[in-house]
Amino acid sequence: MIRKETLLKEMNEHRKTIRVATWKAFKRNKISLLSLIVILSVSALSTVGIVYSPYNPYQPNFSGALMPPSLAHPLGTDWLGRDILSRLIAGGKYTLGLAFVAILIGATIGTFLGLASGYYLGLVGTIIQRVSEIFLILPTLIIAALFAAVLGTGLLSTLLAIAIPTIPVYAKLVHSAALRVRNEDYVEAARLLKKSGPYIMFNHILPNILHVVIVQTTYYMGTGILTVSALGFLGLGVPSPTPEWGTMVGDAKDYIFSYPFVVFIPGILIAVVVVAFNILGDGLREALDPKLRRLL
Amino acid sequence: MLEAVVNRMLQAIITFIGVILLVFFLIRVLPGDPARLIAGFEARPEDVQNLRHLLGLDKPLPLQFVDYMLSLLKLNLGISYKTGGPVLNEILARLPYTAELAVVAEAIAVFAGVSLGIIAGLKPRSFAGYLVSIFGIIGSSFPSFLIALLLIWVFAVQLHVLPAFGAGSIQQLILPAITLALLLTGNIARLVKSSVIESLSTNHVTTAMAKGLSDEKIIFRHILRPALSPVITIIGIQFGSLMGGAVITETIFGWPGIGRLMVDSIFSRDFMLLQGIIVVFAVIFLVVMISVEILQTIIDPRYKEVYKMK
Repeated sequence: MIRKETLLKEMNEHRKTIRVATWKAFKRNKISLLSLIVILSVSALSTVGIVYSPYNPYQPNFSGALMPPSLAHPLGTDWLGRDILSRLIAGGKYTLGLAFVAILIGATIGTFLGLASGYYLGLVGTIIQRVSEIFLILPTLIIAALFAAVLGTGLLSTLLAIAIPTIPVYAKLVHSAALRVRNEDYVEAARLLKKSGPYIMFNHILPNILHVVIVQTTYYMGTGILTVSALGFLGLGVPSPTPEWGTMVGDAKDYIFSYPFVVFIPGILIAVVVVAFNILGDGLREALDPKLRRLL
Repeated sequence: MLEAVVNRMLQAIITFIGVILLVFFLIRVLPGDPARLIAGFEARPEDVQNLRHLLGLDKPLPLQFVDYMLSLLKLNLGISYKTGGPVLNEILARLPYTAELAVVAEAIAVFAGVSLGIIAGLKPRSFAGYLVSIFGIIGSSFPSFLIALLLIWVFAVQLHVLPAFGAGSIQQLILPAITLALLLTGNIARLVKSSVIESLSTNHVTTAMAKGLSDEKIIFRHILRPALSPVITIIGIQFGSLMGGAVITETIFGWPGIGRLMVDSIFSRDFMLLQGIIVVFAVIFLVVMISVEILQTIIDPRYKEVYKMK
């Protein structure tokens, strides 16, 4: 009994060392640290936007339409006189929120399927792989547009249009990652101890491939945001007057000749957030890679 | 080798049938009566009934699917709900525009990406090295509509040198093609750059230098050639995002290709047309994928070994 407790203690200490080392490795890269700060502040503002924005994001004010940035309206007003900053703050929960929830759903289901097909080889695995291929042959935006066409525009259909094509991406990724570790000694040991399949999948395989999933999810948040906003831009996503950022660009695009800031402010915000997610993904990949970490 | 190619094609056909299965049943889930849509809302009920029977829409779904697959073999993609004409004709009328745009964009991207990648690979810390990173970020993170609108703003609104809309002339092709090329250039450049850096450290380049071969000869023979194979792979992989980008780009620039036709078909609820477009997309993707794999075995002898092993 004493032996087991010491072992557990040692294991926990080892885990802590790894966490500290990962954070140290991540902190080294100042650009990815900056990206994390950008993402956290935009997410915080969008969370605040659920309950508060400086002006009403929907209320037109025709006397103050198309005003350039000023003290009262830091990012100006659009063609209906709505405060652009308020619309961006209120719209974050659509653009970021939808992408986040959709990717989370898709990633969870896909990871589960990938684990199952990676652990239990055979017919189930083959079927999952074949179905994944069907989805992966078509580009994300075209699949999302197809689902939007079938489900109609709106929050739920945009959510599904992004979540469903995400499932096969994760299923394939986790499947091949699980294949790499399924014959490791610790999995073999757990099998000898007569642990159940699901127990081994979640307690032995998943923790050892989790870093792959985390990095992929960071990159995929960027993809998700691009897809939400592209659908919104085309008029196939969250419909106006909802201030989803892509919808805002799509609605404003005719003003590019006279009042370009109305078009570019939401567009550039989307780009900044996606750039941040991609740089964060690079930083996390380096920090979480066990091979790279050993060199530090 | 031949066996492997045939095997690959069989796999592609299975995937293709899967795509059609997915699209077909997804679209049949929709509420609404296609026969009513084609006939128009003023049509008499018996006419609608006749049309439904004529189009085979009164048969059970699995039978309809078999019918659709059989008509595909005869290159028949069905009848457009909106115009009543064959879907294939509408797609074929638009396809050359998308092909033109895609080929020009890919050519710009390959030319810019390969040259930038070589320069950056030879001198990683130079300005070209940073340009590769910047193009990489633009390609992976910028929404394509933002790139398109920025180009319109600079070249059409500010400089008045290029038109912002329409198709037909070379001037009208430039902005949409550059928009799409910008989505691809960074990836190609990054790949060529790392391939060049890798080649520079190999023995045969050192030998070539020691033999006193001219720089041009070394670059073309020993550095460019090994970089070619990954570039072809990436062109195949990027083809999907090229078509995804074409949907947005064609919509913004009013370019009458199949990307825009797809968006229009969704808005006009012409689902037979939408289904046809996806089928055509799937064929194109599979053909590109297989051609890339075959091209690679020709260019890169190492792939032959891989095929033999399989």
